[in-house]
Amino acid sequence: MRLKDLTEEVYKCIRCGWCREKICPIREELGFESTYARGIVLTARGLLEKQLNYSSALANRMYLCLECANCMEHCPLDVDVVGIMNAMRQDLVKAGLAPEVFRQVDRHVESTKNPLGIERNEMVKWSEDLGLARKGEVLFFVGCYPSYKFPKTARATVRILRQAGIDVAYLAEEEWCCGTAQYMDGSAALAQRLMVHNLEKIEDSGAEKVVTTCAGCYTSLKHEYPKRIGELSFQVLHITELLEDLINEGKIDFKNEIKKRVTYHDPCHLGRHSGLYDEPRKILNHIPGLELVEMSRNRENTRCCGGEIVLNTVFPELGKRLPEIRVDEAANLGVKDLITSCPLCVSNLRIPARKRRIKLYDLPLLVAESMGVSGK
Amino acid sequence: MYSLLAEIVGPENVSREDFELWCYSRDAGSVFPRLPECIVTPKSKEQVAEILKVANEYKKPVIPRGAGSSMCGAPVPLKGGVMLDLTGLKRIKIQDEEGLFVRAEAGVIWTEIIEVLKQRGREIGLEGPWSAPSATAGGSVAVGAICMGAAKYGGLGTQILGLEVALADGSIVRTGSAANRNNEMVMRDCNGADLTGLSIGSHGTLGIITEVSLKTYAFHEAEAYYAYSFESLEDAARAVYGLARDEIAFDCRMFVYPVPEEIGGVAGVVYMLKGSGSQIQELGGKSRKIMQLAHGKSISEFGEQYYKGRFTARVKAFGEAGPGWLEVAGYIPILRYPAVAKEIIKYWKKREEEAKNLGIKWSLGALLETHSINIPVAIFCSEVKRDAWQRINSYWHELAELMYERGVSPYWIGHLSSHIVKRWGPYYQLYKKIKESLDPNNILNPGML
Repeated sequence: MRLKDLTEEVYKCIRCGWCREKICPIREELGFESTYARGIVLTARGLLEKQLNYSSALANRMYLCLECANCMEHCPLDVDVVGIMNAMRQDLVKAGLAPEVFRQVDRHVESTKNPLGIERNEMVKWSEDLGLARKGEVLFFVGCYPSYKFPKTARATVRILRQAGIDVAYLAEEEWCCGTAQYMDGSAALAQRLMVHNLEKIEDSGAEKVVTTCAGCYTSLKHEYPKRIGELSFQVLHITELLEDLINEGKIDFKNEIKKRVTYHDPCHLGRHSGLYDEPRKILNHIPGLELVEMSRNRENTRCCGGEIVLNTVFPELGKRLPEIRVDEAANLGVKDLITSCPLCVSNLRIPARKRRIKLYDLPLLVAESMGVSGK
Repeated sequence: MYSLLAEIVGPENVSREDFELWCYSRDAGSVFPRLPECIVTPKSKEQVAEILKVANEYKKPVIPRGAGSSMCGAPVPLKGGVMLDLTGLKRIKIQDEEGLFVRAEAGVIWTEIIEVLKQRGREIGLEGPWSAPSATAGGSVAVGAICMGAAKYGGLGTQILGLEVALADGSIVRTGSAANRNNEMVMRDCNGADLTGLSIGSHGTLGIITEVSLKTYAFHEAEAYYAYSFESLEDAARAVYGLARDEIAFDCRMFVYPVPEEIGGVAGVVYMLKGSGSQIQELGGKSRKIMQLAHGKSISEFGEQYYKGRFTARVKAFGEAGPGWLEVAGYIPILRYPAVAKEIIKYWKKREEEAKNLGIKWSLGALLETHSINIPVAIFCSEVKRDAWQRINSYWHELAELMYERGVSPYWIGHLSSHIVKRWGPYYQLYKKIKESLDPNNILNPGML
């Protein structure tokens, strides 16, 4: 959707500013009006009223937004800030003004079908000894980060599900990037191509359920695919939803006690974008010996841990600082273990977590440990 | 000059980007946008003082801005200049072990003060203006905002124990007891003349508030909410008068146009009580008698519904009616309310068709302040329609003229000052002399008052 199509949405903002204090992680660091929702919407209005023009400086500012949606959570008028931001980014892409890092990411996706730019043949390595079928009732949509960066999470997920009696299918090299980064960054046409491809391959697999461990892939498949390319013939589940069902059906046996006091970081895509707050917590509460304590900013009010690709490249100081703040929140609770349920968050949080000597888990890894199926 | 400003706050805290200037060209109201020339985001009072020294030397206007949630254009620059975004001054200080007062830097928001005090079993008297989740202590004091709780505590000035103010020449003054360097901000009425009052409602034209000290109270045990419907404005005003006379309500509001469907009648009155359980019971009983004597019909549930979502409900209502909006408001004696309200209704009757054609809506209500009543008239339109937007600005000025002529005295003034200045007479002459003395180069929010 282009910005002009969102005119009504832009004019809905009353500029009350409830999206300002302790809401936007970028605003908290940079302080200016243009860095958070009220300024973003007013900027959009300036563009619509031709008081402003798209420029590189404006692009740099607009690409700061992490689309964590905390502003929308606090907006009394439900202004679709993320929609407005995406529309502005589409216009910026069209005008050739998107920051180079995004164009680079798009080029990676075009050539390697993943935003990391890693060769395709690396993608399936994690699964080579697992003998996964290409077709089946439950399909594991692995996602780029688990495939390339966090294979242990992918492998743990397969083991957990097998132990629970589900032999998941896998698209292997036919699985392309889900398109989350592309539609968030304004490359709508590229996102569309990725989505159409994935949809076709998922349908070919005969899957009735598609499960993913990545909160970004989940939001994309669950919400953006139907919105952008039509109704889905299959159900999309995040691993936390499926695990909760399996626990309720008595199919998960937590054999090992894990005596840890842990805290949980809600991924924005899983929480605010998709409303899954209870599922991961219920799973953690089932693990024997585990004590879950909450950070002060949790659930709907969770503080975003940052956006690795953009911030680290274009705004390195911010890229470093945002995950540090989130890890500090956990450290201040006195916990030694931080759990999340998204590989993108794991990627953001891992360096400051290591520095603070906090062990970081993607949730399937902890579940596998308790089930005694960790393996390699 | 801009490089000097960058030296003071760091280049990352200065912006002259066109989109940034645009973002600071408006407040929450429908005053037309006006661009500043530069934005600076200081993080301390010392930086504010240094910025003022530079601006004074270059005779460059300085416009202080808190949340920018006023609706009168208070931080919308009339003569360009340097916009000071004060939201970076965000420390809260509770030095007194008993927490009988709280010091908040200019950029601290109301809901944060409330939250911090709640953890200590304390609260401030007033809960902040309509935009409390974003409005800052400094900004609210600078425009003399009316706050939730005005029925019990009155205007903001009644809660202030002292201020810290940066003057045009870059000096910093602490008012009240804190004028004595060896004392704290615990008492406003000290040291002769009340210089605290100079800054309250001054719109940053006499100095820039960098810190506010507020009274605190024991956290209340209980709340109760009531709503009544009335068949005449006179009855409703008598009911509100009774609540004021017997010092009953924490907050009290009147709806005249439109009256919420749930209430019905010619006017609706909602009020809220705060206190201990027994106080609430006693005050509740007294208030019910007052309402009955004024022929009020009790509307159960609406009071609770209104006050439980007291800030959200208002923003939603503004958003639905506008979202573009302007407001004229001010204080009059309570029993004069019906006469002024009827004049306003008459004003709108004459413009009914024009307003309807332009999609313009309006509302009329009241807020009780301990000894007077605030009469706010809001005008709404969608700013997508430029002609409607222009028209609500002219209605705004017409209504200001009508209301001020009938004795209404505004708290915030903003871009309506021309209507006030001509009525001030000797008061304006005195203000002007003070302004010339404190700000001889007229750099502080010039043109605002």
